Amino acid sequence: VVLAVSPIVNSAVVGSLSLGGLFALIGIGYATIYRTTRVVNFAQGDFLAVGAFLLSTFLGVAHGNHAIAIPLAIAADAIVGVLIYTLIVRRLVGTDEFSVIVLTFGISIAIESTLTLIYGSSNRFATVGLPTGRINWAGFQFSWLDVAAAACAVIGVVAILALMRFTRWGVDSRALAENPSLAADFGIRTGAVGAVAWALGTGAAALAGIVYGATTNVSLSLADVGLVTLPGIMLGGMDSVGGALVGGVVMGVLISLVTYVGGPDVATIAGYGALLVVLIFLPQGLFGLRRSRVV
Amino acid sequence: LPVSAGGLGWLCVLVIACLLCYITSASTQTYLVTWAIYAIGAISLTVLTGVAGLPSIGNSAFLAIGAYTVALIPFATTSVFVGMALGAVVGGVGGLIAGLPSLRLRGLYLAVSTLALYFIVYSCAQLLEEDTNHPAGYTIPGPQLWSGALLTGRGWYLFLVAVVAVYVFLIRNLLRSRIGRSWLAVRELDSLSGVFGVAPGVTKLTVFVFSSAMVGLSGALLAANSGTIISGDFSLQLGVLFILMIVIGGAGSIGGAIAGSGAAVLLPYFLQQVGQRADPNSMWLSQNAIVLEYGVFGALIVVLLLFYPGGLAGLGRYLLLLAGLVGQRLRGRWRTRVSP
Repeated sequence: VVLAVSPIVNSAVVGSLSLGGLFALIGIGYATIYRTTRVVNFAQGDFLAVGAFLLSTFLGVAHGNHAIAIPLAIAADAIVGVLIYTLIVRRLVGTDEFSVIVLTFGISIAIESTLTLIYGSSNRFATVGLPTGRINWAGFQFSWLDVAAAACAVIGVVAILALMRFTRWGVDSRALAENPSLAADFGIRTGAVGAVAWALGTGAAALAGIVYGATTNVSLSLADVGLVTLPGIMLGGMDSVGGALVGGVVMGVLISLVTYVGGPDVATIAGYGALLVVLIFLPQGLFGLRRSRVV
Repeated sequence: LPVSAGGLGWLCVLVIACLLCYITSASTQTYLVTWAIYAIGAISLTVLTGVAGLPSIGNSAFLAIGAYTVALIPFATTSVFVGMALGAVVGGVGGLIAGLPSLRLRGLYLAVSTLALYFIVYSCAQLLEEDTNHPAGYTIPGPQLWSGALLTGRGWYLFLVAVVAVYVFLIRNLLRSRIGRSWLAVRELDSLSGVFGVAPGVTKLTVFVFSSAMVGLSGALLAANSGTIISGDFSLQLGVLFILMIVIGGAGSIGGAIAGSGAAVLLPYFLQQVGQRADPNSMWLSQNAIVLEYGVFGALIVVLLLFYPGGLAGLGRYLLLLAGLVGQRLRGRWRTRVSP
């Protein structure tokens, strides 16, 4: 029996599956970095682009072998993230909040220029080696990439939550988030703990960039996706990894629905309008720690 | 003469700025005109961020609001004064909306809310262009006086210098008044400012409205200057460029904002000259000029924040201090300080 599913329902469900999954994956990256080092990395979107561009290069080098190229691209992106944290961002962490925001914007602009200089402005393509056919299941239509996006999000959240719960790094990172100088006094190597957080965060971004780049193409517009996910992360709570999953899925449904009805511009307005509402009425998000105060 | 040393310095700068248009070529004057317009926006941002301590990333949203006000209201182009006034009013209303989150939020969250406002304004502008069938943007007649005379070339530049001069005069006095001091109080510790009779919520809203109104005004001037406006002109990078201006200048310093906007406007010109000296026939350089420009901007932000957070104003203060010390020493009044 083939159920008849209307296009709106199909787009909402598949949108929540794929776009929500990707938003969640990107959100985990933001949350991991913010939890540990108190930096909102506005260059996070650029790590999506770096991951996808690197994959297109590595695919050429590895003669289309995805099993080699994809892990290599993620690792290389994470190394870039760790270098940027250790060499640049770390020196400003704990000073003025606004300086750190501006700093990550500066890094973002510099990365985008570097990518354009290396790769030019024409679009590139990088597949992830999944079958291209569409799946019909219970009346819904979706692609293998949609499944991959959702699977990556779930695996990413579970992996990072497990790391935070069960490893020494997780305990250290929570100590660092609570009080950096006290954590250092107790012998926690704050630089190394922060660097691991950045490696995980930028690695998650690279994975999201690779999947997203495979659905469309590899271009600098991937960098904009990073900022589009901010409403979802704020909704979930900036310092909550689980909240990033919930917020990402909620925003994924909202954006894909509104895009279907009114087009991408209306979707952008709806997404950021929702962000303003969340910021005004629920600044700490659904699952975040209450840190704001009413003045 | 009832003028302070600082005031005298500003007068000298004003005279030099006026004379500058008589000794420069017409092509250099276009850079100077852009500098004057950007300086208004940079001063407003440094008041908001540097003086009152409220971070804003979405500065180009208010520029866009001012520019689109001039483009969409039919009688706004009858006189440049009408355009400026309308840009300021609509920009101020936008600032009131953007400032509302500042009643509850601080620091990071406020920066994100201005980012959200930017994307909303930008998408609205794009929708508008699609719906009214203006894919190439809106055309705007040049700046006119009441008499209908068109301001061009040197006259337009001198007009803008006058606008900046009036603004600097007003803001310097405003910052020394009760209002300006309440802005400082909010930056230092908003929760405690109530003790000194400063209502933090109202104060934050006033500074947001004031700053956005002035950026809206400069947006109106920008529209009159460029002749056409299109949503693509008001990129997020432009907003970051304004932050770069106040970072170069040193946050909170009026002179620094003017110097910083000059540096940001003249940097592309400078890079172009360097490129031409290095290799005049390079296709690569001419094709990637804008990309290189933004790369240098980004790198400059990183380097300045890491190694010189005080900006030009900090450097100026340091040099003054150094000069003072040298002067004291020359006059033989130098004494080593004994630490207790």
